[in-house]
Amino acid sequence: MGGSIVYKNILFCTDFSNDAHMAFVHALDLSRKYRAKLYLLHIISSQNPCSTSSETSHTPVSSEEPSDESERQMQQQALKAMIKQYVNELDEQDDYDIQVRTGSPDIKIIQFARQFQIDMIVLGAQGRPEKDRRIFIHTAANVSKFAPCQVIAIRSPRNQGTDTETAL
Amino acid sequence: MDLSFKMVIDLLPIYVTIQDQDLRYIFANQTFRNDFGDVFGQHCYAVVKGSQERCQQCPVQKTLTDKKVHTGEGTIRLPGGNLQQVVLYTTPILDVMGNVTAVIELATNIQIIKEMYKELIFLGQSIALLSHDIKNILEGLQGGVYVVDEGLADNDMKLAGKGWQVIKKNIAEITRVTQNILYSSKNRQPRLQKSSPVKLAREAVDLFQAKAGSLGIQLISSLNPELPGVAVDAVSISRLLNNLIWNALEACSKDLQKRRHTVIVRADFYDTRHFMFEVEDDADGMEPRILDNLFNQFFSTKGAAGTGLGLVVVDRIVHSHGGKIEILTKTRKGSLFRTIFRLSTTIDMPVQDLESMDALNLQKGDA
Repeated sequence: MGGSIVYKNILFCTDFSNDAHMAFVHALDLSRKYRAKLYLLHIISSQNPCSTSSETSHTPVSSEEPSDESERQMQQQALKAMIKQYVNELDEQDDYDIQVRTGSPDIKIIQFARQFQIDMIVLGAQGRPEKDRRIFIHTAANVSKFAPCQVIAIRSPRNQGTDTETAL
Repeated sequence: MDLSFKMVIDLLPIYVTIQDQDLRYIFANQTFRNDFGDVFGQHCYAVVKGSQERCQQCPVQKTLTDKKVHTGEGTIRLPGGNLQQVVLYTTPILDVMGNVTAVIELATNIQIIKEMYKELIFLGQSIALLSHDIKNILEGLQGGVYVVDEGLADNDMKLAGKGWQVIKKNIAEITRVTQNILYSSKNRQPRLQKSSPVKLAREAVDLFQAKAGSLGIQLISSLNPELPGVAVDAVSISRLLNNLIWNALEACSKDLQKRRHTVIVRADFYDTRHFMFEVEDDADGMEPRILDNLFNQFFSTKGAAGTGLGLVVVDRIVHSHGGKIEILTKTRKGSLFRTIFRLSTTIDMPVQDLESMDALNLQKGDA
């Protein structure tokens, strides 16, 4: 019969929404439980989504030059926001990596999952309210359907009760 | 005529440079300096690659190591960001002890040759794909004619009617293939006109409802009525949507793992300045290696089976509008094709100039 489940790399994706905050709690808990590396990823919208995309990392693994200075600044701001929001919460979770990328969130999350051999993706189910969103694609649904690994989409208690959706 | 060797080297229409053992430029001819400026003392990989690390396949480094002449092909990045394919030749400069002190590098632009090469391969692939498509359609037509003949012979009009439906379906197929051939056979400039993305998507969905119904596939649309009118080539965008929907329906019809299939067509905002079309199916999906080369396959290998010319045409339409294609796919789950375009104008042209653009295109007789 099958052995125990092992998660080596867990990816938490955030858009700084309520759902994402709840997803972070789950991702951190799972990372500690399985002693997995926790990747924290935020995707920012591109100034020009029809051109090439770029990425920035806290501990650089691979990088492409942002297409312009404003995009570089946006990435740095997002990176700072990530560090401010999450690093203090990580406590004893030493094995982590914070990254920011630019482009369509579903595409970038799935590319990231393939690149870093992610075993599980944890993200918010609904994301930010529509009026605060910059990109209008169905990120959680698309990641759940097309990701190469398990996906947990978390709904915050503030958003219609608590429930968790898992897609394999 | 007073021509010095240096003047000749400066005027040669190729890049001539000399690099030291640390891969720093110690000489560059005028042609190189015209494109890259004064590069003396700078690392070659920083100048022509925009990189901080040495290239893995570098003929200069090979020549430094073995003192031999080396050749290679590569891509360099011009200061404006444009990429240029070049063929490289390197030869060593030796001191009296026979040690390599520097390397001469010649780089010739082969972009035009590469483009021609791609076009020739594309032509060959197109013919191969078309032969396959046309053979299938002819077989379909023959089958339809046979059924009609049988119906007429037995005075069975119901049977003849079924055969006639098969014939009509195959006529529609050959029309689609022919339109794609015409579209892909020349560089067509977009004929911009104010169009409603929602209307274009609705028309495309309506066009395929009968086909989807006959295949037992649910074809549904999710169209945002708040999308404004945009400046696009309506004929091209319709063709783009038709090809994507046709591919999705075909993929579903070939997927025997599931009993029911659904194809969803969306037209919506991508962000505040862009809109998108999405065509999503729940067919068999694609392997990552196919996805990585989906559009290149027509140029480099045997082609992606079953996609025909449709994706080539989609690729051309998107690029001619300055848009972008994104694809999500997973084996046994399905595929999603997303095309993104600018909301304001789809190419760098004010909307008010569209009428004159139309007139220009009509004068050219560009069908």
